Amino acid sequence: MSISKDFDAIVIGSGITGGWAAKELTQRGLKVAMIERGRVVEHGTDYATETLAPWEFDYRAQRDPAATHEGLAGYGMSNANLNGASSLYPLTQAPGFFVAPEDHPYQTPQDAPFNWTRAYVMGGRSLVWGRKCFRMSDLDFTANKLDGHGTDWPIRYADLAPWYDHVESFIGVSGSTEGIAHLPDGQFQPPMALNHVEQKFKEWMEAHYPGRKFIPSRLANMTEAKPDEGRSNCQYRNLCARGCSFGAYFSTQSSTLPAAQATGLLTVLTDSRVVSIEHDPATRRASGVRMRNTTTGATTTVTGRTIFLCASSFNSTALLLQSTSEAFPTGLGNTSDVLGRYIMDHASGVQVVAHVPGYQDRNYTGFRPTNHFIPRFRNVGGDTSPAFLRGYGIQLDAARANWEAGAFGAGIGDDLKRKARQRGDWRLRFNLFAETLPDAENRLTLDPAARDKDGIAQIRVALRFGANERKLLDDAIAQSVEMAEGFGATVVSRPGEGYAIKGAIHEMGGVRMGRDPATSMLNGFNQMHAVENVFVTDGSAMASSAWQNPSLTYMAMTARAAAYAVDEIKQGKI
Amino acid sequence: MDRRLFLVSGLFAASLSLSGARAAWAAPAPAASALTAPQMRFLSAFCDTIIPATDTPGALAAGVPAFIDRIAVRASDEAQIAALRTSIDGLERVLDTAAGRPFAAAPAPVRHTVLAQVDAASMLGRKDCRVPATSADDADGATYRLLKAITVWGFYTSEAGGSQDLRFELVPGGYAPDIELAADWRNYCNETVLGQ
Repeated sequence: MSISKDFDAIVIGSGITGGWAAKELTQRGLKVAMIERGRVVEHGTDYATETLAPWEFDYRAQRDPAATHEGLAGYGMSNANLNGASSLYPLTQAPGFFVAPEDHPYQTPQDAPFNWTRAYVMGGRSLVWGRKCFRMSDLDFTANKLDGHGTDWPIRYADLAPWYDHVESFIGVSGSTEGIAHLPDGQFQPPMALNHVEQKFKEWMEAHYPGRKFIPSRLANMTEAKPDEGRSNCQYRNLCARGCSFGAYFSTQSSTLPAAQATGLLTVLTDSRVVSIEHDPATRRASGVRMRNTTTGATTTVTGRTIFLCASSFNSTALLLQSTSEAFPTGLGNTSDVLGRYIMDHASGVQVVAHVPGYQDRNYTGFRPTNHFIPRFRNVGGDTSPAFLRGYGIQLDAARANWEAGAFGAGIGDDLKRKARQRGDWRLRFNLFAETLPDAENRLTLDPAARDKDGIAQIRVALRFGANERKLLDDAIAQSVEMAEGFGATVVSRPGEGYAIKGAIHEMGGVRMGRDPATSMLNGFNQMHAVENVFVTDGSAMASSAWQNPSLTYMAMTARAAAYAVDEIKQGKI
Repeated sequence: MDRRLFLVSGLFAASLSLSGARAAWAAPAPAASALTAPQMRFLSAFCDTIIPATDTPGALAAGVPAFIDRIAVRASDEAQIAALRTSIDGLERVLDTAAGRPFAAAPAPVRHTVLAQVDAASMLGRKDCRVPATSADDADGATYRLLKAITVWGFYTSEAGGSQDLRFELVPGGYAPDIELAADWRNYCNETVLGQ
């Protein structure tokens, strides 16, 4: 069965990049269908846990104890779960944004576990993302070419710079102008401030380590309202991942979706999982998509003149692998055996915590929804670290312990209640994010046997962090310890021997861009070499991971690709 | 039963019915109590001693014993419930011996003295009672820390503990990055510390 609607463009996915594709394509006059596999989440009204106090959750904002069945000792007891940002502790009071892994299984090798965090709802992970907005620079776009790992990016900073401007201005990014060549400045609202100890640490570190800077984060939480768009400035609740009725952080719902809807050219199809992109051998183009209603199981086809694939890195890669035809027996556009290869994530999951003595009279109020940033300082700006390639960034904050430090320590009765009310000591917390080298053996494939509940082959993720990533993190840990101790702090927690490296929910690659169709899937406009009316603009297009949070780059690439696609359509080329 | 514990058991019944009403809007209601009636009396005395009513409500007014029972039921299979009962009986014997009478029937000052000693011994060299027990730990000490942790958690995440003892603020509205610590500062129950 086919529905008669014929669209100028089909956008697959409604998250960070899908929303941007829908906005840019409709604002340029195209009739667009945006297809989302998950349920509708309306801005505000469907943020079911947004205003709940801890006691209004069945399990006080912890995971349902029945989910682990580990007895009373297995029940989580931590305010760290309160903001809803942890996919391991989804706020289960109402239908949540995160996927329960048991509902959507995938495969990994025994020796390479991978925690794939997903949000199959309208808006996708734009509702729950970390909101860090850092530009890449030519240090990153030339890295593959210079050290020979991965393929050369087909774009340079100058290609993306105006699109970074465009995206930042629209979504609202708070940050500071710093003049750091490898972390280019952008269109910023005023930054979120450093607190007292952060400011002291900044002064000390920048004096002792020339070339290192500790700067306010660059964050898609606004410090100035956008009243014309019905968006408020941040209210410092730090409950972002529960959804924000203030519209103070960028999400599809707060930002790109209303812009796209205002054109009158957008059709949103939810509860509809695209199961293949259809290829017409006569025209050698994609003709549309086949999609499955996730409630009824009914399958329909939607036709469109161009396709924007924005389903998130691994799902976009998998959808191409599933879209086989006589012309492309191993997946749509896969003429080079590159499809599914060179997947990456940032090497992360490690933290150094240090106790800071003193500053007992200094305080802050408001729940700031971010830490701050020490940009890369290795193999850049005069530093040469021959032990490893590339570099890492450190997300750092200083905070005073909350009630938990006093309440769970020694003491009972009046003594316990008094300690729980008091501000705890200061701590510095270094969170480490290292670049991962592209590697052909890091690969996403379709499992030959295991199927999901829609009868679709499960994804098999084989991603191993290598020797360079471990050297980077070893150095990041050593530098964090050295800086903390130099500042006068005492390290209380650091990764132990043989620590596990984890991803950072920054999975990317699989459909990489490149200059040569023999070694890449997409050209410099995210356009498929082999099927010219298909654009892949989410993280799967990444040719290297760089060392900074990637979502801003995905948005800039999407907006740029959309402008290019519309020009090509108008010229009759696609 | 002394007058205070009599009052306490009335509060306990009230909090049970409250938790029953709340359970209706999401989770299945507990099938049964994890603990026996004598154990619930012991647990009430224990919670009241860890977090007594002072100028603010204590653990009993916050319904903490019923909260603990509800979580225990939800978290446990039969074997785990049996193990929990055995652990609590073991701790109760230690406290009864130290108090020279049933701990649950001892006056509040006696209970405080006895439990403060157990706390000092069980928390020696430890900063956080939530740290999971290992097989090397003393069993009664581990039971004590687990019950203390969930008593503390149950209290400060309750409305009484979170909004009458600590403070609850849903919409701070702004961020003051560097201010003097006020002498009458009280922590916010809903301050989420990033990156823990």
